[in-house]
Amino acid sequence: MKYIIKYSPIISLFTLLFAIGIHTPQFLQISTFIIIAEDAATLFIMSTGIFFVIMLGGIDLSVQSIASLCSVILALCLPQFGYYSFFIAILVGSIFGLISGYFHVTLKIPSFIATLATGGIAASLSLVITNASSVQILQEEKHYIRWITDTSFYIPNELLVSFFIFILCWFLINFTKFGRYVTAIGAGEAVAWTSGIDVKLNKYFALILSASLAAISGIVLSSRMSAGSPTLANEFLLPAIAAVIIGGTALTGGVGSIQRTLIGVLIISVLRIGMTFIGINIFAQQLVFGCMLIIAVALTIDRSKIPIVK
Amino acid sequence: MNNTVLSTVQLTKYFGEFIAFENANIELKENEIIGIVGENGAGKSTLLKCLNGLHQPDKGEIILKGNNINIKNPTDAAKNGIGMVYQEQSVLPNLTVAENIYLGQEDKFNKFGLINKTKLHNFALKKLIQLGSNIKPHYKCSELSFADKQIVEFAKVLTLEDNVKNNLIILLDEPTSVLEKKEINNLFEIMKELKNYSSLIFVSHRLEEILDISDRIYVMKNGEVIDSMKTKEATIDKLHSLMVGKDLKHKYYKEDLQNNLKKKVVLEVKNLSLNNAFENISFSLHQGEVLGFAGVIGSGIDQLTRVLYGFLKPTTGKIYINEHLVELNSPKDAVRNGVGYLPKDRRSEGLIQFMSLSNNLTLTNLNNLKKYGIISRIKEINLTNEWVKKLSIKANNVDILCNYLSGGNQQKVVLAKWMHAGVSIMIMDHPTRGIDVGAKKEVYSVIRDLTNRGISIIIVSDTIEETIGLSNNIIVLKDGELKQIVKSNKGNKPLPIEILKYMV
Repeated sequence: MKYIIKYSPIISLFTLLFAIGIHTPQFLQISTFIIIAEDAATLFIMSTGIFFVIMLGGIDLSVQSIASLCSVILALCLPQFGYYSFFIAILVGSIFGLISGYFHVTLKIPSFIATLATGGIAASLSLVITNASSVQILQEEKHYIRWITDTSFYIPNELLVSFFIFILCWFLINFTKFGRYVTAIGAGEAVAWTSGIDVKLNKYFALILSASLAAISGIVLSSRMSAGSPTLANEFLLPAIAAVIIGGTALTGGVGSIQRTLIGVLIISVLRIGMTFIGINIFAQQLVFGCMLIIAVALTIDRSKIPIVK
Repeated sequence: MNNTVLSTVQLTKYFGEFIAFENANIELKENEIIGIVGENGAGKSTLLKCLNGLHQPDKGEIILKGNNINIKNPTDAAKNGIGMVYQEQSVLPNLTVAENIYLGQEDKFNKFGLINKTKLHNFALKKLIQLGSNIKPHYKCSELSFADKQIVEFAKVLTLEDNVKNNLIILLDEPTSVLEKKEINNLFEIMKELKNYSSLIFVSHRLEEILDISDRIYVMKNGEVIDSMKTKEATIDKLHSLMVGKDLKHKYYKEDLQNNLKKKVVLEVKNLSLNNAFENISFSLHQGEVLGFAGVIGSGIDQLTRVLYGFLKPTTGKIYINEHLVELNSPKDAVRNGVGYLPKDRRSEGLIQFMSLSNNLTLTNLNNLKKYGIISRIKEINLTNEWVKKLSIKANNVDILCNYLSGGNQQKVVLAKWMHAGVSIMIMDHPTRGIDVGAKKEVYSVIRDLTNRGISIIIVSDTIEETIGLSNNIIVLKDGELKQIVKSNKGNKPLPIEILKYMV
């Protein structure tokens, strides 16, 4: 049973591919896989950020609003600042991470409220600065975003960007002090504190990292769409959290991995694209993600550890 | 003579491998107060908790008024007329006195789904008057003094009378440990009054109190009831010697390896005070010394150890480490100043249960595993293997989750964790709690080994013998004051009674 649960994400992934393939054989083509990978790329970047916060035992609900805000900022800044716009967008994202950190760590507000509030602020801000309309990236600015939209060696660059982020975060969680501390805090905050770890600082870092990665996913998304929009990343939050949890990262913190998050994201993307192939109503997608999230949590959570559910 | 109302037959309780108490036979008669004495960890509190249904005994019987009963939980105990006044109070501060007294019994006052407040207050008032108190039922409990809250606790127990016809059994788990002298006298008046229509079991560290109030006394030691006597026949000295036993086991505590006191002072504490805990404590700790802290619960030693590790901030006073004035605002500051902490509660503060042995061990110091900012797993595994060998930690591999290690091995991992961090001062809060004899011996060896490397140790222990056996000097606290510093040199150890007389 233990092994079934451990390997269930990867088994699910292949079962899904197989099932959709039987129903619609055209699904199993290289071109479809590239569509799936492209779809997964932005979601994955966002999920890795949330992954760090969930590993800590918290949650980040601000990511979709931050991604949208940063897409708008990128589109607005490109004409004037060129390549610097990318840094500006990431900087703005990280400032929102800092704000979440201040609410959660310094003011000691539970992370889901703190990030929900930060997300609200970000969402509203992007509506205000754009007057609730989308901002096009014009033809003459397109050369700035070609490092994302081009293809190198038949591989779309956005895949390379997310692959780079995968490697970076894999390193971060497995081989750095920060990664070790995040895992330790998620698994036993009192022990971590007693061992002399700066719990507050590491929580700040994780929230800033999550927000910065959300900003990057917003950048990649807006480059793909050639536009920034205050609602660009709407509908991303649920699948992003679902991906982390379906991959097998424990909602209670301390257990999980980047590889698993990747598999979770792939499951979500295969489902998403697969449903279109089979012809399921696109509006029913969130319904499926919602159900999958609950099933995944119900399977992975260790209830003996949590006497009280708040 | 009076009839027996409650008795236990060969009652036994284990926590895993750890024996809380074994084959306990106790008898409580009508209108009687019995006292149970014993050191910390002797099993007194756990015994009471079994009678109240908080713990389930593993063996033996509880016989109530001639019937063999099975107490599943405190509600069950209440139905049988058994109530308990806890060491830590269980009064909810945001409710009124009356609401607290009848907490969980609101059905009695139910009127069309609403609570009939007038009836509730009248009922509560009756109980308060019965206890001779002038607390009003509508007071918020957060506004009450500590002693008044205790009265509310008693009133809560008295509500059991409404359900049970014949006499109540009231269990008191060190109710006096945080009370003032006057309040204690008041409490005793209440107890004498209660005795007219109930039977009481009273657990306390303070022998005078037991002698004062009880009719008969049971003595517990290491989980066994070793003696019982009529209070008339007992004296403080007699109880002392029973509680701590006679001979000191020199070899057991590896006394021959004890360091002689060195000159160098590593930690100096000057006039340290913490509100409501301790006052004006000054002492110094030398290099390679084992300094024992002795005192009963409520004496302030618990808070003092926590202040020295930065968990609590002292109100006034100064702490010097290696002659530098330091401020310990959090454990991080303590670790930075070379202080390590072995917690009383291994599971929640010592080790991360669902993290591997190697990850736990290196948590206190990851810097020396790093190369270009990257943690080297190879170095980590090698280093963990070294410690596993050095402290003979029994583990299949270094990646085993700490949850699967035995208590003794877990304790050794905590020790290794701090040795790896390179601390110069270790604060050990009950280092041998809940581990078996073999593992205890190994912990003693590690302690001697640490001191021979020049590490200084502050130790708070479960038993006086252990404190005496391990320490160079013993600081005795009573009611927040430093009563005495007792020398405990190699080959010239004080008798337990010489420590106990300052403690109680």
